Amino acid sequence: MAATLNESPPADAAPTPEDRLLVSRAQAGDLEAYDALIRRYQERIYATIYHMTSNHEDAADLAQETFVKAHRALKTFKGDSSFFTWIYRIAVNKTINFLKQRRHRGQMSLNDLDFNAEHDPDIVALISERTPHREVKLRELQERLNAAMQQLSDEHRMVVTLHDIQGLRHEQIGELMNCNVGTVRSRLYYARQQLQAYLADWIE
Amino acid sequence: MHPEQDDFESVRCLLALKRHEVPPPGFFDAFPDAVRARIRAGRTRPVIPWWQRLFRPAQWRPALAGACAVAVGGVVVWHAGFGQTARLPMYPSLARGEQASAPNHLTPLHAMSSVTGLGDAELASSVANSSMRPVVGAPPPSWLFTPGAGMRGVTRPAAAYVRPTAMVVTGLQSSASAPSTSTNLP
Repeated sequence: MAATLNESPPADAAPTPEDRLLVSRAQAGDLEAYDALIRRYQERIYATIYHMTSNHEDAADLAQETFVKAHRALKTFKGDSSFFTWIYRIAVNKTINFLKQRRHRGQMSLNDLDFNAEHDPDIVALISERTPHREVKLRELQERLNAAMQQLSDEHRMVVTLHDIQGLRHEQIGELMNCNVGTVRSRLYYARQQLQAYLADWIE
Repeated sequence: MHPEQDDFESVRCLLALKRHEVPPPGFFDAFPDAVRARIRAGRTRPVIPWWQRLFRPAQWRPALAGACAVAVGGVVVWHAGFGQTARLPMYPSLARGEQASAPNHLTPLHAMSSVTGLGDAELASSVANSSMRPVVGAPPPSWLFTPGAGMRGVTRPAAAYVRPTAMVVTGLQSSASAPSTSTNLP
């Protein structure tokens, strides 16, 4: 079954009782409990990394590394923040480090669009105005969109990914990226402005 | 600047398309197994030998590896070319391995004996005494600290020069009564 990335649980930083239980069991060495935590957050972690890298293989590898590193550091998790915030921060740091080490922009390896994309009202409005060949144009738009995202700096792309795609709040993003809300808003504004310029022929 | 009042609705609509990008079917079903396998692999991580760790940077930095290779090659070529002359045998007999010591007429003691005219025994005694009563114990030459002499004090009269034999023998045998000129030869 191909899980769509927009079916992930809502972004909530509040620690849930279920999470606490699973974390304490995993800290005691219960791999099944950690397995449950992986299943709970794998889609959101993978999606964040994928939108940052625009490369499925890199995203899969980094997502695995994130969960491996989290498992190794699980003993140090005190529960001050939610497990969601904690593992998200690991993923964000790992991804930004990876992108800094990757000197040249990597080759894009884009995932397929799911069936719902053709029926998304926002997308339909944009596509139908321009072409009757909807499927072809969707793929072209996807490539242009990802290319435009890759033009942004890592920090700006991360803010757009977390806010406009993942739906996180400004406060959560600030917590994840170790910056204040003002910085998050400013980066978001600048990133959208850049994207608007890169995608002008699709928007105007 | 009021970021929330911006007009980026179209951009946000376009970004909605990103939410429809999905990994290959079955990816998330296999994902936990892949993580578990990596966790287990991490526990039994094989020890990498030192030579593999040494050459690991060369795998991702070809320029560095090339520079190292050129440097090592240069050292080898230099050693093979110029080092040969330095390794030429000083004494053919040594090179042939016939005798482990230098010829007798080239030993320091024999050379000194030929200069001073003293016998080997006397000379050996002088050398032995010199270590017990070093030259620095001798009084400084009177002309060296003459006030106002300047460099003229260093430039000694011709009579002050004595044969090296006198210097060596007197300076070593009786340091207390050594002539002032004997210890200041250039």
